[in-house]
Amino acid sequence: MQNIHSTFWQKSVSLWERDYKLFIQAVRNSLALILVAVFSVIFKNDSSLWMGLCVLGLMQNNVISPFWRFEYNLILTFCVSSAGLMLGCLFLSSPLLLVVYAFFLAFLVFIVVHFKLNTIYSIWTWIIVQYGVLSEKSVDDAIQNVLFNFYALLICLFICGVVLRPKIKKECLYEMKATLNGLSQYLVAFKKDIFLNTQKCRDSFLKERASVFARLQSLDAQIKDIQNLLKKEKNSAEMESLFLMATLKERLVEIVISALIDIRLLDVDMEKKNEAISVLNEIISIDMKMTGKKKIFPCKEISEFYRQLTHHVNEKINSIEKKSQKEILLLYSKMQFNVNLLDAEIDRYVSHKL
Amino acid sequence: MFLINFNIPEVRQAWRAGVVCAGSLFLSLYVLKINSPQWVVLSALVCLQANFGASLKRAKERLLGTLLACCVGLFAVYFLPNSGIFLSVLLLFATVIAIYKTTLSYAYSVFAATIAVVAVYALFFHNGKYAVLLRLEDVALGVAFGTLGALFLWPDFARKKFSSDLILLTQNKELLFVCILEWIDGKKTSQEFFDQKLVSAQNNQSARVRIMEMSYEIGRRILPLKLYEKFIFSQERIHYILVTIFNVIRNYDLKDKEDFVFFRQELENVKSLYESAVKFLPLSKEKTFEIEQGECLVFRLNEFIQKMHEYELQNNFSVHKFILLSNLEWLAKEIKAMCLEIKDSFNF
Repeated sequence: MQNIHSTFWQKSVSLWERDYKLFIQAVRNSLALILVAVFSVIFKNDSSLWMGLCVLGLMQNNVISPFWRFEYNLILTFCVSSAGLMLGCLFLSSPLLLVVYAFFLAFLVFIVVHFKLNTIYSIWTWIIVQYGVLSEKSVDDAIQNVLFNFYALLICLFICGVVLRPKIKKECLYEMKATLNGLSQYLVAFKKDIFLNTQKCRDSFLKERASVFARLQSLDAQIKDIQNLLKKEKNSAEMESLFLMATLKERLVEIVISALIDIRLLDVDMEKKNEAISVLNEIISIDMKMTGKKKIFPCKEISEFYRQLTHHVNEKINSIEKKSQKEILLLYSKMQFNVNLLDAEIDRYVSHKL
Repeated sequence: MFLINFNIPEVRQAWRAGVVCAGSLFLSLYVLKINSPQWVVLSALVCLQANFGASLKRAKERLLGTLLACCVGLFAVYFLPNSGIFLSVLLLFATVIAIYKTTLSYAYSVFAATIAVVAVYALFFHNGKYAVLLRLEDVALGVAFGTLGALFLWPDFARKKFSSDLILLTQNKELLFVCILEWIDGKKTSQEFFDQKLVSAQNNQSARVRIMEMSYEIGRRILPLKLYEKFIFSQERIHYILVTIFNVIRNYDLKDKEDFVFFRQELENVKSLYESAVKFLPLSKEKTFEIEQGECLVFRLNEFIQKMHEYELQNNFSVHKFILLSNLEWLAKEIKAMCLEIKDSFNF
């Protein structure tokens, strides 16, 4: 029984760490909803449904905004949605006019996508405005809606700015670990796909692939956030180390994916392919020894760690090469060279040649 | 004028969304006389995706998630304790799952969101059963409006978009070549290259997603999935080799070396070979594949590969430059493989 509990606990923790960013956003939403309920009970009003919707809209619209723009984006979303609610007053006189306004609101959602302004007006902002306008009967209703939208903003600012502030360092460390975990799952799916070659395996392989790609995108966005922070606080050694770790992780994922593409095309027997995949698996598990600790290491330690990784991979590949055929030799030399590139990346970064 | 330029996908999508939302609101208010038409409009807008295949996929997931959640919701309303604490916990739990699953699985997200809606109605209005019926009605109507809108209003089909995706894919690879060359010449920064790398990788992924959307439109069996996938694979390999070439030059500071002009020239050569190869993409009548030209290109590529191979044998290059030469050779080989895939695709 104790074992079951500990396994369940471990699984929950690993799930929490894997999708930390999504979970923390969900928790923020839930906390905000609890505050909405408390607000409704204290002030004895029946607008909890409307305020709940505003909270969800404001919070969710913020998910796609960069780290440094979190609060700023919340306020902008509030301004846009409130303007939409007030503008709705002009269309209240007839249901047909409301239909025209609904056209305009939905039209705008995709026009702003063209100008890449969807961090301010997206489908979430649209929900606030559309729902609010359809529930309004007079200007007073609109003012009341804006007022409750403002309370929702205060709740969101309290939750996002005070209680659960986004923490770029923590998020990035968890994201790196999750990316490596996702990559090893991708390796398993890849192996099944090339060995079993069934439609089910292909679907699961494509799913894992899309998931690794989404993680890479997220990691890349975080690297950009860290770069922005580094520009502001120039001598932050911790941030510099985090930037280096995240960049190396991105390169490592690229190396593994490009090697897998090559392995798929190799005209050699399955055993050799399996051997090549196991080398990649080993690279991931070695890197996991550092990433799994969810700690920012100084640049010197990172450099030392990757030198060891490169050395290990070189040794491993050299031991395989002796008994391999030409095609696989080419693959290994490419793999070996790419891993050595990680060392060069560190050297270039450490000697500030950016 | 921008707002009526229907060649821009976002403008088409905006008009489609506007008409579908206005239409579904009008029908809900005047014909069906629904009390809360906003949920119908929401479902319609959510189901209206960039193309018909994607809309069908979204509609299926939304219907499936809602139906399952309504069954579970009814069970919870009738058989589980109707206490405030239980419903509050259910509401919070369902909200967390709905938000958590938003980007991971739409069907699960809708499932949890529906449970949350039922919990809200049961908690605040003591009428969970009403919420189930309301949600079923809203989602069914919204899905119908959204899907019909995607099919009849300035429709975009994934199968038709796929050719433009492929063109975009190859154009972005060309830009990746250009980025490296311009970075070598000092006209671009390494950050600009990394940005282009991300765009190129995104294009690879969107082409894959498009294949899945196509399968919703015309079925899996008809689709030449493997052929398209092979082509995308070849683009991905070219992408990764280019990234490696850039990293080699950047990390080992090769562009400052005296004899680097030679490598730059060879990269320029391989770029022009790539451009000639993608010109044969059978995507329009003007770009039909001509066997003779294709064979000539393969001959040029073979010549290039041979040349690189001979340089490698000369042994008068440093290790890093040797690796650069090998990468150029691999690149030419990939382009050759791509040419053969384009030919297959044309035959198909």
